Parts: sequence; C-alpha cells; structure tokens
Amino acid sequence: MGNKKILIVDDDPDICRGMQLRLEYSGYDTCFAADALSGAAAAGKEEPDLIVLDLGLPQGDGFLFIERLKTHPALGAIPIIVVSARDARANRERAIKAGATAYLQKPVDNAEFLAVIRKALEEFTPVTLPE
Amino acid sequence: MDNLDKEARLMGKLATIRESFLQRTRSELPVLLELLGRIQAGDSTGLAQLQIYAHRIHGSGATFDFAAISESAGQIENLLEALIGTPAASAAEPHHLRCLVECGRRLALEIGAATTQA
Repeated sequence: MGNKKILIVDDDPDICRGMQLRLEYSGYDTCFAADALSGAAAAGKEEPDLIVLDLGLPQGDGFLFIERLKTHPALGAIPIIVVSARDARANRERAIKAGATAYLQKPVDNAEFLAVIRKALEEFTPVTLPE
Repeated sequence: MDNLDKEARLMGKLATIRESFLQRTRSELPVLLELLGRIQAGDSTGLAQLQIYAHRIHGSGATFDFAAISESAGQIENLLEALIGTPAASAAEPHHLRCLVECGRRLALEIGAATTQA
C-alpha cells in the first residue's frame, strides 16, 4: 500500500515547506493549495487522505472551505485538521461544529501534530461512490 | 543514511526555512510600515493587505519560534479586525489607531533584533 497523501491548504509558503518536510520525513506524501478555492479544487483532483487547513486564507476563509467540503458526497468524509494562529477559544468550537476533526493552535508541537494526524487517518474510511 | 543523519538534514532544512521567513519579513517591513502610516492618516484602503501581512507573520513567527514577532503581529491582526468591523477606519476609535502604530513600531524593532541575532 502506498503512502497516505496529505493536502496542506495554507497561504504561507514557509509554513507549507516546513510542514512538507516534517510530513515527508514521517512517511507521508504531500500536496498544496494556497487559498480556499484552489484548496477545494486540489481536494477533488488529488483525493487526499487528510487535509491540514489554515483558517486565514485568501478567496474565502477556512470555515467556508470546511463547510463546502463537508457537503461534497465523496470528499466530505476526509478528515480536516485545522492549524491556525487564531485564538483557539474563539475558533475551535466553530471549526469542529463545521466539521473539522481537530483544531491545533500555532505554534504546533510536532509530536502532537503527527499524533493527531495518525489518529485521524486510523479513523478515516474513504467513501466510494457507485459508478 | 541512518536516522540521525536524516534528522540532522531535516533540522538543517527547517533552519533554512526559518531564515527565509525572517529575510522575507524584513524585506516586507517597509510596505507594512507604509500601510500603517496610511491607516493612521485616515486612508483605509490598505487595511485588508495589512491584515494579510499581519496574519502571515503571526502564524509563521510562532511556528518558527519568533515569539515576540508573532505576538506583535497577532496584536496588529486583532486591532485590524476591530477596525475593519467599523463603518470607516478613519472614524475608528483613536485609541485603536495609536495601539496599531505602537505595535507596528514594536514589530519593526523585534524584526531588527531577530535579524541581528541570526
């Protein structure tokens, strides 16, 4: 079986590159999108096993991205881990209610980040639509 | 390559990204300060652009262990959110504008200090 694929949706190239290095070091494949619109398109094209999402994004924020993805018949089950610098007290509940699997506040501890990803992947069952 | 070598290479690459964040933030500082000056003068057209800068510096600064830089940028982001919520930035509470300019000055000093240490 191939590596699990993780889509990183973040508009900061330094953050993307840092996450890519850490995730690939841990045996995952990665792909990227820099805004909410191209993130939705990348989710459809790449069919990732998990999405790591920032909240402050151009072209619609992260909440909009979650709400759109969760209504998609095939992609709605993909776990979404929100990683944001925004205050967790004000945003965690909203993100989880919208459909996110977990909310981590930047700076993220790498061991915790990987543990949350591992757990979400273990619990994820991809949806296969009939032909 | 053994695990120690792999980890050392990973750490080296992460240090390079950290340095690249600092350089990019330093190069963006003049634009950021100009936007702050415009907002102080009552021109609200740069609010959204400044919010994008502040958000990026807030998140990346924390990720790359520049706590003071991240905190100042986070304060700017919060103040901008309050200003953007008002009908016209020029009519916003003068206290918010003073705080915004003060945070901008502090951010510039912290970026300068981090650059000197690097």
